[in-house]
Amino acid sequence: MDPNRIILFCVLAYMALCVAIGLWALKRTRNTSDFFMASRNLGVLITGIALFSSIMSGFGFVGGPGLVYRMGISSFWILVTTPIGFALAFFLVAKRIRLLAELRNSISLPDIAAARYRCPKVRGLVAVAILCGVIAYLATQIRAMAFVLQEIFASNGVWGHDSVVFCVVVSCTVLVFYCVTGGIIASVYTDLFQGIVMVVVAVLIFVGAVGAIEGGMGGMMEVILKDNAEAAGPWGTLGMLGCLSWFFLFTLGVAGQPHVVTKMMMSRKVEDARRTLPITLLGYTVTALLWIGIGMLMRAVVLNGGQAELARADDAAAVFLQSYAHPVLAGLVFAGLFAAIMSTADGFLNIGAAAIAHDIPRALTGNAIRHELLWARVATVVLAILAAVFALQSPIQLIGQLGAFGWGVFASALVPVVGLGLNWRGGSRKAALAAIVFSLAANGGLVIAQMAGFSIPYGVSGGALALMGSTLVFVGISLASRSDLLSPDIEEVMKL
Amino acid sequence: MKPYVFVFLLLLCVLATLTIALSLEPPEAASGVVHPDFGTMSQGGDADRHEGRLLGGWIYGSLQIGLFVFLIGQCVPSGRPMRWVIGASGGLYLAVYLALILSYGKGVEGAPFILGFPLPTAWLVFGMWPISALFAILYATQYAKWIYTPEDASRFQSIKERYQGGPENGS
Repeated sequence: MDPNRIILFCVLAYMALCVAIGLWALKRTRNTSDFFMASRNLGVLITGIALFSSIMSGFGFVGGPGLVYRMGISSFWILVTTPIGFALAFFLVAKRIRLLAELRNSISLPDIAAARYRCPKVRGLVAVAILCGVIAYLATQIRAMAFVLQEIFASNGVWGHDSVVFCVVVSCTVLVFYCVTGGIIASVYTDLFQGIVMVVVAVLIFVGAVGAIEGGMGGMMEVILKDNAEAAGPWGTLGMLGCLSWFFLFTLGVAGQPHVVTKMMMSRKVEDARRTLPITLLGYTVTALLWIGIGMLMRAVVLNGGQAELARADDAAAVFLQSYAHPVLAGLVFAGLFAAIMSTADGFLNIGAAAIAHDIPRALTGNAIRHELLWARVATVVLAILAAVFALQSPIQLIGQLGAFGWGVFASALVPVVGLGLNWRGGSRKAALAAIVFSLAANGGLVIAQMAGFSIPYGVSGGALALMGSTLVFVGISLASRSDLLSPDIEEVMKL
Repeated sequence: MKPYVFVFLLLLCVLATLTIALSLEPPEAASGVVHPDFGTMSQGGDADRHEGRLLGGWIYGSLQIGLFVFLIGQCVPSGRPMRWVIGASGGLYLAVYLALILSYGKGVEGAPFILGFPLPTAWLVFGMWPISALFAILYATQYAKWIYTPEDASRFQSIKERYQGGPENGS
């Protein structure tokens, strides 16, 4: 059978399964608590896998190998942060956010922020920050989905390379279908399936990549080192300060990613967090093997002349699959790639819909809107359309910046307000508002500046600077302002 | 100001200052240059680009580790058993980072290979990566002693009962 047909079949089968899960979850979604919070009834395994698969996005499966190909070891610093980053996020947030969710029947992160600071403005601004990050992030995910589908269709002669709009429509339709019908229940159960696919694929790819060059990992490193020792050194080509800024941003930033911390609110029991963390960590570490394996192999084979230079660094995964992987494995990997992208995008759609249908109306009017579940479904569709239009209309250069903008906004707005605020009674509402405004301004300003050609010396991450700045703003203003009165129940929970 | 807030603020200020100070007057290839033969790749020049900055980089990275470990430590209420293990794990993490810096200072070229990686990189892959998992192991194994004790659970039940019927959805 034609290898391209196998790949197409695997991807279509994967999409059909996502639709089936959406239909199955439809019957289990009766109210907004089901739609946004899965009724706080998720088991340890599902929560653990949903957590890692929602953070290992298309960036991990496409951008990650591309970074290793382009910069050598530098991007290992993003992977190395995971154990301490996830641990820090669990230490800071997991218990307290789950307790508050149960105490106040909260169904979104802005709910928690509003309860903590007793302030509708904080709820509104947290929702706005989430929405800004979500649209930016979703646009990159949709563009990635369309890019992959376009390649598959083109290689099967189904449609030419000019089919980007069609591919956006197809991939968004599947995504929106299961998100609208089944809400977060469909999202986490597809995450479970997607996570398993990602783990299997990553192991097979790593074994294949290491075996593809004489001498295995040592052979690849020798080629890379011979060309440029710094590329094989611990800082890669990016250099020390750039790597350390990633270390800061990605370690501390996990605690501010809403698609991660929101899932911590959904577990069946508070005590489940202890078993969820090892599952999340193990899953992420195993899937990271794909990032390392493909990236290093492609850099080595291009350097030793075994492969023509790639047209773009992000082609590393696609070229590897065409040249070094068995067609069935390639089909599985493409399905895994879709899984990685969709598992992140569905979480964003859900929290974005919550911001639109649940949090912003409450922040503005003080009341919930009628038929909230219906409006949540409408908001999911509207958000997907907005992000798709944004993805199609934005230049490629901007799309790349938007992913970094999304992570940066989440980290710098939510780490101080949620991560620190839930642990420090002295954090004030004025400080929370100022930190979010600073975060949006700093990250937005950096994107505009980078589009205009400005670059931060040493490759230091703009998100890391914004995170440092917003945290300083939060702590500084909290110390300078009078401490706020907390609700008595919140005060007691914060002492636990 | 409480001492822990002061320590946190101080660490953060020093980090921010170091970020700016270390970024001044970057040498050529500070964050890589385009590969002469392959335009889609970059090269890192030679190790001279970090000359005079390695000590700063060691302090910078160590402060970051200190900040993360400090935050983790603050999440465990004082007086809970074996709390010092967090500090010890932090010390180990710092030691591995120091080993990475020292071995990098001696050079990547000519360094022995450990499981497929030159020694300085091996410290990153087989040292810093797994060692930082210690904190996750501590979280999983000490959860009932540090994070959420049976007493905490009964106190939470009592809070829930006392405030039942209170505001919902964060209102």
